Amino acid sequence: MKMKEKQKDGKLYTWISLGFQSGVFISLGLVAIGLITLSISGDKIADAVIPLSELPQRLFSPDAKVISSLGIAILLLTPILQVVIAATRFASYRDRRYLGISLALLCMLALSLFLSAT
Amino acid sequence: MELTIANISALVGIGLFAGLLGSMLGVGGGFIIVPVLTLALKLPMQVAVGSSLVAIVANSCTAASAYLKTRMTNVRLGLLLETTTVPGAIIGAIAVTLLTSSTLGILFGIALLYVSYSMISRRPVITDSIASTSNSANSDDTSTSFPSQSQNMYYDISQHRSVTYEIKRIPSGLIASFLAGILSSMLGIGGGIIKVPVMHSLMGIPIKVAIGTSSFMIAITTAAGALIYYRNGYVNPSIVTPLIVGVVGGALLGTSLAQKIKGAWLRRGFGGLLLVTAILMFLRAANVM
Repeated sequence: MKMKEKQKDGKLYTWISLGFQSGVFISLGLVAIGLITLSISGDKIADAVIPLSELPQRLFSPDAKVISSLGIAILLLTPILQVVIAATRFASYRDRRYLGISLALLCMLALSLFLSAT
Repeated sequence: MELTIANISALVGIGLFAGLLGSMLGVGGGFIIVPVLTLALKLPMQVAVGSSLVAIVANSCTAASAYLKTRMTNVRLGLLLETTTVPGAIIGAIAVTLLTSSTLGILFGIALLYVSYSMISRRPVITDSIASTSNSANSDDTSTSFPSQSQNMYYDISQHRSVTYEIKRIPSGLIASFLAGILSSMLGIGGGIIKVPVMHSLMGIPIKVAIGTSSFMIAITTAAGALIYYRNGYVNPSIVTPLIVGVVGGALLGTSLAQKIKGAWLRRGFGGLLLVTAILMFLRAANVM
């Protein structure tokens, strides 16, 4: 393997690995805070998460349910963010084939996101 | 469900068990979470599947991060196969709203029987490889096709050498990935039980790379499906939050334990457990219990 190409791939793998790790730990932190808040307050948590479309407005009045829902939403968006990172890296490498594949995948994920938000 | 300390502890425990076994066996964890939520907690199948998918995202993100660090993942291949897996996952998540809980239970039971068979039988499709070791397919191959030679290579620590491999039958892999996506969303499983054997046996990818790439793909596929369950109100925070805490802890523990434990007995024992669970799922679908 050419050294330059190896270094490029190394960066791609490091960025995606860090992205996964950060997303999981931020999400874990938020759901844990939500869970502890609920246990202390003794409130009942709702049976359904806050819809994604309502989540940004509810962030101004955070409670256990909002924090938990935000944690779950961040977790679900984490893998999608990794595809964005991959697409960005492929664009900087001028790797058109995989930039195209990543963008096509992002369009499908956007459809999934649209279906989940409407 | 009321969030008492006992309930939280039980759900964290289920997540821990699923994350631990899932990361060691490469099965995502859905095969443990869904039956427990439906059989023990009597939750509707759709809620169990939605909650399981979220837990699998947590599990696979944790595992994928570890595999990416050791370069046991082919990111390019994973992205390519995801172009058919994600549409499958979206179709599966939409189709699930049209099916009854009993039908889903029967489908899940059939999938459990398949997993159970592959674990008990002589073909250790997944476990032994995770438990680490050395059986790389095509380790002597120097030929290449796609994505490109430079990407089709990894360093095998147990063999102390770089292994180059050839990716074969990409169209068949794309079709199999589409089916894996549908099943993943419909049944709340990661789909690794299909993806890993397909990549390894059909496409000629070394087993370790197949598992690492599968973890990366599972994270994306299950997130796409879980978002639709989220929208349809099938993600229950009171169940999901303790599960995430347990699953991440279990996955971290399982990834390190996987290197030390012999997989054969664990695999057979787990296969037997799945067989019993499959029978219970069929009985529940038939309203016998």
